[in-house]
Amino acid sequence: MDTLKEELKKQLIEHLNLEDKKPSDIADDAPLFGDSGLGLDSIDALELIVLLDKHYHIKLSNPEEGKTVFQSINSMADYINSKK
Amino acid sequence: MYYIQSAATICHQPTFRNNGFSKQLTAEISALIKPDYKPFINPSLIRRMSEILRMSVTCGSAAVQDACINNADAIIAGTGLGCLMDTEKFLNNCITIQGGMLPPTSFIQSTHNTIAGQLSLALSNHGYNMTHTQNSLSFEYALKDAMLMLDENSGNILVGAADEYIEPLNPVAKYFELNQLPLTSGVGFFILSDKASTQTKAILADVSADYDSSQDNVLNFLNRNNISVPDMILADGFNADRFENVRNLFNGTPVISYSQYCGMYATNSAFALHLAMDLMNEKTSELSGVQIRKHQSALIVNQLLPGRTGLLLIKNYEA
Repeated sequence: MDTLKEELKKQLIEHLNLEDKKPSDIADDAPLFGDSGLGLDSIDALELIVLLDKHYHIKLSNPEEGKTVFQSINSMADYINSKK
Repeated sequence: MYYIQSAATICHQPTFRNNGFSKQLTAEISALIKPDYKPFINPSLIRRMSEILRMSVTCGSAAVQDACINNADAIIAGTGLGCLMDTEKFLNNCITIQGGMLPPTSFIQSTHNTIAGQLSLALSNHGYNMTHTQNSLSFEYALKDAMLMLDENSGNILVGAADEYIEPLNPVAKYFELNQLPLTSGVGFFILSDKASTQTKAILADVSADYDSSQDNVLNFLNRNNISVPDMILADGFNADRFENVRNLFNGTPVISYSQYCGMYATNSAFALHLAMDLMNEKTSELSGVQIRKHQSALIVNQLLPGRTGLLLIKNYEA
């Protein structure tokens, strides 16, 4: 599980060009969207959908689902594990 | 008359916020000289921007600041080939992700009008926003649009041009025999106004963009501006024959080849405009052995591609 979270953080940094961030800067439970967390926006949400498809072959077709899946690294890792 | 209040250029020479850069020019074209973008671009936006967007937003913001205005009344950009880095990224994604979902950012930012669009976002500018893409005459068309706007309404217009180099351009340039000079990147933005101010650096007297490379075209342009011989001529110098034609037109008038300093990109006449302003303001007497005796007027001749001529006439401004 920890390996998956670490992998997700690296993929997030690469795909979203978070140039100033290191994996250790992203807490597992920190919100990905909004000012209190990483501050991602709607275009990043689309990039995350592509990321899930590309690396984990998971297609997120229901936009409502995205709100819970993309809350944090923890929620993304849980979702990926549930689809395995 | 149109007044140039400020100029900001990022290219392969030390031009950015460096008055008198014409004295530091070298014909050896170095790597792109990038300033620190962070003072000019919101950190949350910078991560998504390709190099051409970072350069454009930085130059545009600097031009607005240096003109001492709160914001521009319009943003007009010219680009020959647009945002090539994002286009390349998007096309690579299309090839590698066969049938899968494509990342949206490079697609959104691959369009030509991203440059002016990102500038409007960065400057919170809700005015007229336009992009002109006419290959090597894109900057001239952008300037003409700005001049037409100023004829109708008073104001300050942010006008400029941007083009970037990517590696796949090399074989294309070789095929079209456009590889005599290094292919480079460059961005230049200016504040153009209908009124002079304490910031005024030069006068943009006239602009022409025609599919006509005859000597008569140049002479007619000068005639309509009541100038028989300009004090200095900056010609793209990309093609030896076309450069010689310009030189032969005015015996004794210094002709500076500007592409040897900034390299080859579709809108490098924007670099020439900034160079002409710098030469005039600094009263530089010599550039690469070319003696400049007077600094009242400068003619920029852009014949980068055959059959097309862009002409800019600049006059010295003395309050």
